[in-house]
Amino acid sequence: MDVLGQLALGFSIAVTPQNLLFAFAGALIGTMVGILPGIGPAAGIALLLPVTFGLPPVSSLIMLAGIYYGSMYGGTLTSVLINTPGESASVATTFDGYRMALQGRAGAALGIAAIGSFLAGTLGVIALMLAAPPLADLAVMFGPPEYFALAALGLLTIAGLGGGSALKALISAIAGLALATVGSDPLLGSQRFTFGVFELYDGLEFLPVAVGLFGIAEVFVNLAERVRLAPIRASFSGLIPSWADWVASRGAMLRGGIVGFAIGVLPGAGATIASFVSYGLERRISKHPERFGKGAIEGVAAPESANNAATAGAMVPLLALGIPGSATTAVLLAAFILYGLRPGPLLLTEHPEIFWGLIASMYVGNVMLLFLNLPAAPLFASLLRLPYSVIAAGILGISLAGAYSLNNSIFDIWVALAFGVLGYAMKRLGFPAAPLILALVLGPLLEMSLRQSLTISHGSLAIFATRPASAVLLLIGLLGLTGPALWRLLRRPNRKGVTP
Amino acid sequence: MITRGDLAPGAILVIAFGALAWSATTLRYGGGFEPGPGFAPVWLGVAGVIASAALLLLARRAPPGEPGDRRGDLRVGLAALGIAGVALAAPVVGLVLAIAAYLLFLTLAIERLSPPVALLSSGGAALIVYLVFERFLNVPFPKGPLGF
Repeated sequence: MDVLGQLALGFSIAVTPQNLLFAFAGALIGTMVGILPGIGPAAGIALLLPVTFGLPPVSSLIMLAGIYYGSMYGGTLTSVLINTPGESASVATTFDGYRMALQGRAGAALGIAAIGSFLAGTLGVIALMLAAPPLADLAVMFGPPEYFALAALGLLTIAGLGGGSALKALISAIAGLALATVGSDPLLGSQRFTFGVFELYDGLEFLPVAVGLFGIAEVFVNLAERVRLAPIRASFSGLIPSWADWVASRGAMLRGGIVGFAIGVLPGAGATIASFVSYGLERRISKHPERFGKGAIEGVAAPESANNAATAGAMVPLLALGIPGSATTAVLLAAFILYGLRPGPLLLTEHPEIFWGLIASMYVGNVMLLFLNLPAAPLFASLLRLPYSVIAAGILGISLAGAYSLNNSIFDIWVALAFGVLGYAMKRLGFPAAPLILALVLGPLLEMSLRQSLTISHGSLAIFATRPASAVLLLIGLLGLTGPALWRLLRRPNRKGVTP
Repeated sequence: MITRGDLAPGAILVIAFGALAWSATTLRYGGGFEPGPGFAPVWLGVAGVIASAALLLLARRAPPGEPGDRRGDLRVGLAALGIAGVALAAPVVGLVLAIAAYLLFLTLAIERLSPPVALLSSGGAALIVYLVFERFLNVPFPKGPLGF
């Protein structure tokens, strides 16, 4: 069946009343997740995952994916209205979005962000639809060395490109890999580091770890800092952009969509980097770069388009290769696994209804978000009037019940607590949590493929260099890890103040 | 960013990864060309020690970090102890009641909301937990003397 035939199959699944309802629920919850501080898309999906137990897998995944891309729309609102991004991918939007709000143009900023997100999100889904199947066909030929290289690429680039200290990110990834060795050995079944605790025999459950690291830890950070949201002073008039705004923004939307998708595909880069790169690109090519930071509408259109297209891009390695590139897609991978599905090359042939149903739902979800976000912006903004303590109570209540409900075990509450405290400490000390969670998910695949590769090669590491695909992937991973530091080194002015 | 405040975490990490590498030596490293269960943990421990030692070295020459927020840490410590209380109390009083009591403690004692708002938000959150997980999803929560 060709792409259009497969897409028709996907739409026949996505537009059933039940799946439309779940797509809407995902888009709505995602928007709220994006608006509320202290809860990002990874936490939102991890917290909602237990609630989806018992639903058909395709409906659950449609809802969880909706939370992911819906959160990108939601993050705009707080960036524009109170200069506080709901999640990191909307930081770049504050530069010009808040300035526009101060000039009485909050409505135009939110309107152009919603339209840009819709157009770039749809462009991203088209690119995902065209890119994933050929990549999956290619991946069918992959053996253990290539899978090892792919998993290593994901970890190395998230350490290098994740922002902050690459060394701390690397340590976080090593810690995640070490935690992944707890439980049964993936090849021989012998127990490792279980200390006689029965609940650890199958390894650390991913969900309580994610709930702790992203849900509980975020609440702890906000409790420590006593989050107080600034009052909203902006007006919402003029949500439909004027012709002049549209003309000024359309190029930025297109470029943002392309840049966002391309960066989203890269493991470890994601929506945050995409939004910053896109903003920087617009400023660089603008005829009036001095307007940026003072309320330029292109400065809102570009990052908002990029962060939405990046979510579609991040789905490419997840769906086609089974390799998540970010914390959020790692939680999505865990959702697939909980439903007995394995994303990767075989998903397209064994479960086309899941793959194409999900893609079709993303088209539908983006349309829903456009109509949800334009008229309902003032309604969503009223969420910001809730005291953070009330939000924290809700997050913690759902976190604890969700952690328990996975295995009906109090032990999982202890695990969530331990990782909540660890996540808080990591945040305070500047260790990113995303490499740890990604390493925990990729650890078993990484170890199994490494050991299988070494067995095939009779213990020679040369197998990773002599197989072209694994050599290229590992080289890209090493560049991803060391590239940013080398770039900074090269750009550092020498003693005469000249940049080499 | 690496600061002098990373000295203590760096030292703890060196010890932790060292302990991992050492305890992994009790697992079978491998035989012939086939790596065994101890192979990955040993090398992860070694890599962790090297990376943490590098952090220690860099932290020694780094500028001092920002001073810690002891009051914030205390609030988080109390919130974490409260969750431990939930885990201990749930088998006796029931999970929903334990969560409700914890959220009341959090909103009233730690976040210092007014009693009506604290009661409303903790009770509301506990009610959502009860309705979604116990009634809608049929999760068998531990039950207390009140029947939930």
